[in-house]
Amino acid sequence: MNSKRKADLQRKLSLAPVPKPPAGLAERIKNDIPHDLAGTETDRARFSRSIGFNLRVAASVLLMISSVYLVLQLLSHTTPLASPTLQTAERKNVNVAEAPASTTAPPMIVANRRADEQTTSLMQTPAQPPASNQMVFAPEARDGRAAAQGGAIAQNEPSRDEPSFPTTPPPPPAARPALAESVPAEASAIAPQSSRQTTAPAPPAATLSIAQAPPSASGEIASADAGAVSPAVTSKSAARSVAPSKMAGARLADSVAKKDLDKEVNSTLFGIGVDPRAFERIKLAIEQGQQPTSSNVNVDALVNYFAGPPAKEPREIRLEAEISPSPSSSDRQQRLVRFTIDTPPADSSRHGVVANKASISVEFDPENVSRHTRSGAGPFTVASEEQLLGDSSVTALFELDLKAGLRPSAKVATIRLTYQAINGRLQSVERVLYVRDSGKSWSAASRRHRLASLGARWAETLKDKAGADEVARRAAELSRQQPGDSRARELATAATASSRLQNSGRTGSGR
Amino acid sequence: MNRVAPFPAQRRAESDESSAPWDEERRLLDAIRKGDRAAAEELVERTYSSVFASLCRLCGDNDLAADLTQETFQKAWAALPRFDGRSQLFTWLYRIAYTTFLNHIRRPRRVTSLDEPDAPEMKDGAPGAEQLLSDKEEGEQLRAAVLQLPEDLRFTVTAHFWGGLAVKEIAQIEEITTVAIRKRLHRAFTILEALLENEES
Repeated sequence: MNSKRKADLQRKLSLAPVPKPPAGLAERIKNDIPHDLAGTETDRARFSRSIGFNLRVAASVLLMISSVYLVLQLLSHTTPLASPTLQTAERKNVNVAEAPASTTAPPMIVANRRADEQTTSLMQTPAQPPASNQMVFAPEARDGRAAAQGGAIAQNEPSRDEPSFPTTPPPPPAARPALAESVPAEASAIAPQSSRQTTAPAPPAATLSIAQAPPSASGEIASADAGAVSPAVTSKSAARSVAPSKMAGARLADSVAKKDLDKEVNSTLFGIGVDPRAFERIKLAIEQGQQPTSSNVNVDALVNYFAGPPAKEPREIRLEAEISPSPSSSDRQQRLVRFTIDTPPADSSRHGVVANKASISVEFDPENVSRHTRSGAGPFTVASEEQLLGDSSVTALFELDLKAGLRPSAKVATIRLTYQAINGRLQSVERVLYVRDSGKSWSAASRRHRLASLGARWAETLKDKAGADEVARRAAELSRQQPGDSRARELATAATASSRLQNSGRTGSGR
Repeated sequence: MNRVAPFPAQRRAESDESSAPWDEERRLLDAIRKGDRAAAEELVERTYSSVFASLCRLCGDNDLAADLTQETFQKAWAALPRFDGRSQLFTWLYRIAYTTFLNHIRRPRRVTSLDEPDAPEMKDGAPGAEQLLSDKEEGEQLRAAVLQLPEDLRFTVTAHFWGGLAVKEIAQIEEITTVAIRKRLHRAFTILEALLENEES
């Protein structure tokens, strides 16, 4: 390469034209400056100190435990009178060992919001009397995140000093948490999932804490009636929605208010329906040969069911936004816009809360968008939640019409999520969608986007609109592309069945 | 539209070689860490146009560059606790901006393929004089060629010519010697020449 050519290249690289920044950019950037700038340095120092403190505490605890163990060992070798105590301790240890969870933790009920089974469990404290007649089992979890933290304890016989408790049978198909992961049975796509439900009690709540039960209490099973308790979504009400059993002698800690247990939990997030049982209800109706009634078809919930959880667990609160052409309309100006909020797993010490005072807003550019509506619902601009739970996802879908003759750089929508993080800092995430982001066809959209839109489309066909065959065909195609994705298979099967019902002219009640 | 960007690096090179600019940055950084919002706004005022210019050259789209600039500063506030002050503020910002740009082009469905001859940016150009259009096309070709370089060469070229970073600063970021940086530039020019010749032919 000669020096002249090199110099020419350098000149061209250096003299690339530089446009001025657009008006208002500086203001936008300044608006994003966090309110708590000073917290940055303090957080770092605090974090370092807490790490050191935790290590010291852990070392002290280990030292203490090993000292106690050594003392016990010494005593067992030297003192014959220590045997009864040791036996008692051993029995306690055996009892404790029966419970798979930690022996030092107070009884707690933990509900995982992403598993399709309720992974609730009640752990027995070490102080409990020997309960050789107790049955301990751990509910199964579909994924690692839903690992049970204890076993549910069902008491078969009352102990001598305690009142007799009725044995609570395994709950019926319990309410799944509203934001549970939709991983259906691998058997027939339209098969009830009740058999997979854990036998543990099924509160739909988020993390609950029950303080240590008295020694006379042998445990408690929270009986949940699937019909009475709706899936929990928002944390405040979710944290308190476990129905107490009728067992006498068991006392709940103050953190679980009895009066809240019978409340029906709201199945929405940011005003968007996320009831995971919506699909189950429709499936049941179709199995019974009935076309679901319009009132039973919750479009929002079906969108969320089929959008499903993220492919990978997010490490922080994530806002996805996507735009695509409509799958079925021949109108070239019609588009679908989706946003999804995914929250990371939550620290159990914070009762599952990952953020406070969250707010989501969607603004469509009126200069470029002539019409917009949320699938299945009315207009949506701003919605807020007092608290966001971890392990949650919510999706909203919008249909809109673009004006003709737009440039690719024309703005379509701005979606903004703001929230207060656990450390108190205000965070803001913004996604801007342009015409050029739309892509050439719906098929080029992400899988999650396509499934969500097919879910919405299917919901509309259930409300007496045509097109279920098309939905079934597209869902089957998605299923073939990724055989491991059971949601697509479920949708294909359900849409095929509902289409046949419509064609055969069967009518359900209320149609 | 300016033909020559007022690179912060060049300004610093032209100015007195005393440590005044460095001290000024240090002062600003300390003030921001103490929660001084005015200092943060001053930092924005001083650097946002350069960040925007760099991103505009990288992505070739004003609107996208504006969004990426905003995203860059959002990440910068979050990453501020981890900034140890060994490099200059703009160097650090440029690194964030460059990473933001890379994340953008790697995002599914937000990628503007550099191989597509009908990339939106080309069609989206405002009509102008023939010479301007020709210059713009040449600029686009050069940009596309730069973005086809291997990652290490691409970063070096874009940081030096479009980010205005000095060779020494780039060497600091990459943790290699200045000689190695110059070798990278030389290799990059060789590849660019070949790419542009292929394009012309």
